[in-house]
Amino acid sequence: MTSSRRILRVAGSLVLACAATVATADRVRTTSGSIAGEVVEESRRGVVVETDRGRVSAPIGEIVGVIYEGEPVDLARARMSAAGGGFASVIDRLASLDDTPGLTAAMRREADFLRSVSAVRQAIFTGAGAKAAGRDLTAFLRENNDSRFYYPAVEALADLLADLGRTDTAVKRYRLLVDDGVAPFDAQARVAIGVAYQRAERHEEAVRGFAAALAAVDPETDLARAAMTGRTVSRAYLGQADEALAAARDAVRSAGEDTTQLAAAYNTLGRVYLAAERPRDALYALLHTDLLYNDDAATHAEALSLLAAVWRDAGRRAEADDARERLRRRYARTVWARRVRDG
Amino acid sequence: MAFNRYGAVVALLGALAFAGPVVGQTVAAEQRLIDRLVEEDLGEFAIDYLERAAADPLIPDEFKRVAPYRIAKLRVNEALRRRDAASRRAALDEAIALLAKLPKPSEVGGAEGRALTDAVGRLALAEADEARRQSLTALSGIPGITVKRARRELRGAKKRLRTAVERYEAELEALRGVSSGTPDGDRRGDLRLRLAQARLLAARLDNELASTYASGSDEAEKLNRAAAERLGELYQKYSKWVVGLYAHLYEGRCYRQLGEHALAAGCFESLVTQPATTPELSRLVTLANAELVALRLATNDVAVAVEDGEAWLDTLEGSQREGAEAATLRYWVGIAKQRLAAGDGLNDSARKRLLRSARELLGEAARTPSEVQAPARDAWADATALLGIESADPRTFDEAFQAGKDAVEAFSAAEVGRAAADQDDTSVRAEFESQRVDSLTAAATAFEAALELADRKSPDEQVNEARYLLAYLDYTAGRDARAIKLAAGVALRAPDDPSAEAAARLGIAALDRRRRQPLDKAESERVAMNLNRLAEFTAERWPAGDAAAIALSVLLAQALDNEDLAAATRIAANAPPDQRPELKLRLAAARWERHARDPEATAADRTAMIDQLLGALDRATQSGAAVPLRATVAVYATEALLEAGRPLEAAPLLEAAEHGVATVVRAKTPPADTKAFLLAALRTYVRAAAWSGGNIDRVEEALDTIGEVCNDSGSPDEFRDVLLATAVKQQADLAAATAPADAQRTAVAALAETLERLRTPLAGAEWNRALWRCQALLKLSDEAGAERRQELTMAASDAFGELARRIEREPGFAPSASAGLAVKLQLGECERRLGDYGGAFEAFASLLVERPALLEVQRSAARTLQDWGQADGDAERLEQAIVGARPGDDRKNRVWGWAKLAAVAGQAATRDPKRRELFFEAWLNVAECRYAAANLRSGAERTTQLRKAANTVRAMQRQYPDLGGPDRKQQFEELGAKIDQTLKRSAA
Repeated sequence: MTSSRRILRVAGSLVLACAATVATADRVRTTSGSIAGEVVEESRRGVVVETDRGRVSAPIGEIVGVIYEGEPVDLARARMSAAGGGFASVIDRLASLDDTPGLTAAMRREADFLRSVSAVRQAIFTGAGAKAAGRDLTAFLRENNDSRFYYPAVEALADLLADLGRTDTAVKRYRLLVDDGVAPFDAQARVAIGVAYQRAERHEEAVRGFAAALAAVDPETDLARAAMTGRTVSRAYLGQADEALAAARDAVRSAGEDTTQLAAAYNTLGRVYLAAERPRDALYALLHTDLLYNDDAATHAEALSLLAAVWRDAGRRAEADDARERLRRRYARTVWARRVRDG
Repeated sequence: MAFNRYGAVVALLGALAFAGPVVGQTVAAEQRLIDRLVEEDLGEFAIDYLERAAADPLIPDEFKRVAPYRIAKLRVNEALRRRDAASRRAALDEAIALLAKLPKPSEVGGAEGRALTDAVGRLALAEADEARRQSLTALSGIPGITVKRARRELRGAKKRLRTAVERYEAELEALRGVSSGTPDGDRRGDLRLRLAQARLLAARLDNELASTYASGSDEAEKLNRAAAERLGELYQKYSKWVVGLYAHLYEGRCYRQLGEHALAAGCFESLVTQPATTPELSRLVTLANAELVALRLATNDVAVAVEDGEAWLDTLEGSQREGAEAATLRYWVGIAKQRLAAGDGLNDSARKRLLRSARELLGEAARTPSEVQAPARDAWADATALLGIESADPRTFDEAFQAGKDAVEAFSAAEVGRAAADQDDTSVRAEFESQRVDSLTAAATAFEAALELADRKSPDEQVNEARYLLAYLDYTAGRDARAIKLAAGVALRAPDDPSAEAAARLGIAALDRRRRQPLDKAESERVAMNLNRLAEFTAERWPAGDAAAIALSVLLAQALDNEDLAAATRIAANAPPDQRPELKLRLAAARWERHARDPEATAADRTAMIDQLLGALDRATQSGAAVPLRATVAVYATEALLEAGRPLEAAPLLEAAEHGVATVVRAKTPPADTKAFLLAALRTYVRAAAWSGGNIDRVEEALDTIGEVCNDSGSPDEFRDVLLATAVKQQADLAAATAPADAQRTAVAALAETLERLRTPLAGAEWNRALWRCQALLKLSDEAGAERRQELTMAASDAFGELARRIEREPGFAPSASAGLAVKLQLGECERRLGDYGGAFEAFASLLVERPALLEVQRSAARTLQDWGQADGDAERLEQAIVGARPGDDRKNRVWGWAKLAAVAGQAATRDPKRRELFFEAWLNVAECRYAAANLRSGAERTTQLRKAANTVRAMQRQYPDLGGPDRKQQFEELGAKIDQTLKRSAA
């Protein structure tokens, strides 16, 4: 799974309260519906709601969001901004929340979480303020290590560490999630371990990490596809270009007519060609994504970031500038834009 | 010109043939990739990709087989991109050699066969294009190409076109009988078009060849005659296609060159009467107009050529002013002016003015690639020399840049002078205009030279300023395409340059103007995309400036045009705080428009939308948002409140300072300086002011203004339509509103005033409009208080009377016989209401002699007898109201009365709600008539009548407990109570 997708996924786990300001009871939105009542217990494993028909539990992996009765509108908006990846707005919206009368401890905790995790995501995106953001989120975790925000917070912290190049520390954090075995954080963490090693160019460990993820996750999921892609690319860097190419081509063939999968598969093919030092072939693979299968923001942004480098290396400055410009303009909030910007 | 365009059309069709689902490792997907690479100007990479295809296991075998043929076609395209003639020729020869080496596929309709056809066709077009270019060069006298060589090239190109035609015909034969809508069917359609184009080009080449011989020579005549004949055949064959129309145009050109002017005029005149419904047809008409100017010159009608040519140039709008066709028209008008200036009888000043104008037209033609570009350059040089204008070419960037800046200053001074000059002083204004045009041309020429002379040493800031200023001059002259390219280039590529922000603003303005012009779909999408891109960039790069405000406004407008409210909301929310209220106001207005169109919107939705609209208007007012926008929203909000039945709340919106509806209407400040808005605002003002209570002075004043505005345009129909639309809305407002009695009274008076003012405009109106006014008056008389009811009923009666007279006077005026009967019925109804019962009854009775089964007339007749009896205290009439009157020869009453009406209506009461309603009404009136008749009698007779009435009421209540609804039930109960009371009193 790409980092940008994980951001969205994590943001999704914080989501979403359109009717927050008119709620007449706490409302727990889950993947299968909604539970109305009073939230009487919260822990890292989930929440318990006192409803008309007794107590109902919602496991953390199924919770989409919790909307508290009488919560301030700024909290609801901040939650929505986080869901949309607008982390800078989250911080703005929560700036004066502490002065709001009637703020409960649960609301205050969620606000603290949103503030800290948004600062971390913002730091990953901008490349600035990582130290302070990491410190704040660590403090939050220390004080709330049995809250429903524990797993997303650990995941965000691990992502930050991986982004800073502190791969081993990041992997340790991811392993906490794997060891706890709480879905979907465990599966996400398995793939993230592979990604972290790959970014650090530790391809042998990356291949092992992806293989472990593939053994554990449902093969028909995006996570499995991300792990497969990661493994293929790392194998190419380990000198197994033929096998990697065969796997990447298989991915293209098996994508059928799904344009998002086709885009992801051609990106993988492009990466493998780059690893095999065949830049012209990589160019054509990536152009498939750019020119034909460009509906999906994450894969298109990835292709543009790679194309910017491939065009530049081919001496085609205008095309490289164009790819970079489109990436900056259309996908400014992605990690790909930041990486290209940072060179 | 046409050659290039046909090439583009073919290329487009080639792309469209693969426009279906193109995903996965399919031939279509791979072809789409090639097409996209070509579109992105990456043709050399498309060739490289095709050359590598054989070794790529992901590429389907079928695509690998056709790849060599596609390479040949792309090599032709790449050759045409070369600017140097020798290099282009060499590259074309390489493509020809490559094509010659390729194996000839055994199947003409197989994939390889088709690819070969495409390549051969592309090559033929390219060769024709190249040969024409050579011919024009040779005829211009430019060294390097001889006329002899040009003729050889033209003949060679014709041969290639013949080969292409043969391949098209062979493949079409193989596709005979395929169904349309299938890939084969699409291919067939594509080939038919290409075949037509190839035939047209082949015929045109004869005309081109003729031009290489002396005019009037045997060779020229022979070739032109052959071309005219062939083009005439093609016109007959393809007369419904654009290709056929072009054949007719060139046929006319051949006749013009042959000196057969009448035949030529016939061709051109038939083309200029074509409705120019598409950009392509507009271009054709422009070319035909150009040919007509040339023809007038050939017949020595020089003054007419100038006059007509100028008129045709004036008709060009937006993107029509650009391109080769407009340049060709300008060229011929310029030549005509030059000829006129050379004639006798002109003073020096007039001659110079003509020459200046000719020079300007020829200069523009000389800057635009077209078949007349070279002669336009020569003619421009002649005009320049005749005017004695110094035109020493600048030698360095600095010289050219400075010359451009000087000319821009002169241009600005002339603009200011023209604006300041007395409106009536036409000679001074003309002089300034002439100076303005000269300086604009000089500035553009200087900056063009500056950009050509710019090199690495030229200061970036000045180069970008030259680009920006040239873009500004282009924008001023309506050359949006180049203005966009230059301005957007500066903004996007050099955002740190001092000229960049202004360039961004100019680029957005030019793109926005181009977006509003009629463009084909692909161009329209491209312009929209570029506008979006530049606006996004501008808003992000210069968030605090004017450019950002314009950019955000454009982005919002685009999102709203695309019905993407989510995106529009995001744009407004993320805008800088000082711009946010204005953008949110735009958004609120758009939401209101959408709500107004939504048939499923509820009253609660409407209330919420109105609150949003008013809230946004308040906030925008506080932030000092633009008055025109606020005024527009004030009109919307006023209409919204009226339609929601809350007219009194609209009062503050009328007189608000700056943006109030009345305020802008009185001041005629923007947006009320445009007629459309002014009329819309006046209509709304009339509606809202109608509810002010007191008098209707303001309504009358607004209605007067509507009259003045429409009179200014000299369109009586417009005045009628505006008043009618206003009256229709006033009627709806009356139905919707809940307001105090005095406001209700003025609203009635206001509508009565509007209807009165419609009397004359509608005097000769067609049926529906005329009838509507009559019915509106009658309906208004129902709603009016007692003090105006009679007056309005009389007005309705007059109106219906006039309608009835027109039916008699004007056969065919009424849409049907029953429409005429309806008017008579309404007329009778008016008479009844006015108390002329005799007249009304006669009217109804005469209708019933013709059509006794008209229930509506029977009802009115019974009602009239009842009212008449009650008014005159005539028991016999009341009895007739029940049992009927006017026996016919068969002794049956033609007027049925309530009893028979009840019986007839009762037969269908269960299945027809209207009959059911009539059934209960009739029985109620039977009882009413009996009760009224009883009151006119005394003693036993009175008691008998009362009992009959009471029995009728009780029987109905017993048999039909709901009595057709609560209102009617209450009426029965009240009547029953009255009868019972009277019976008790009688007994006492």
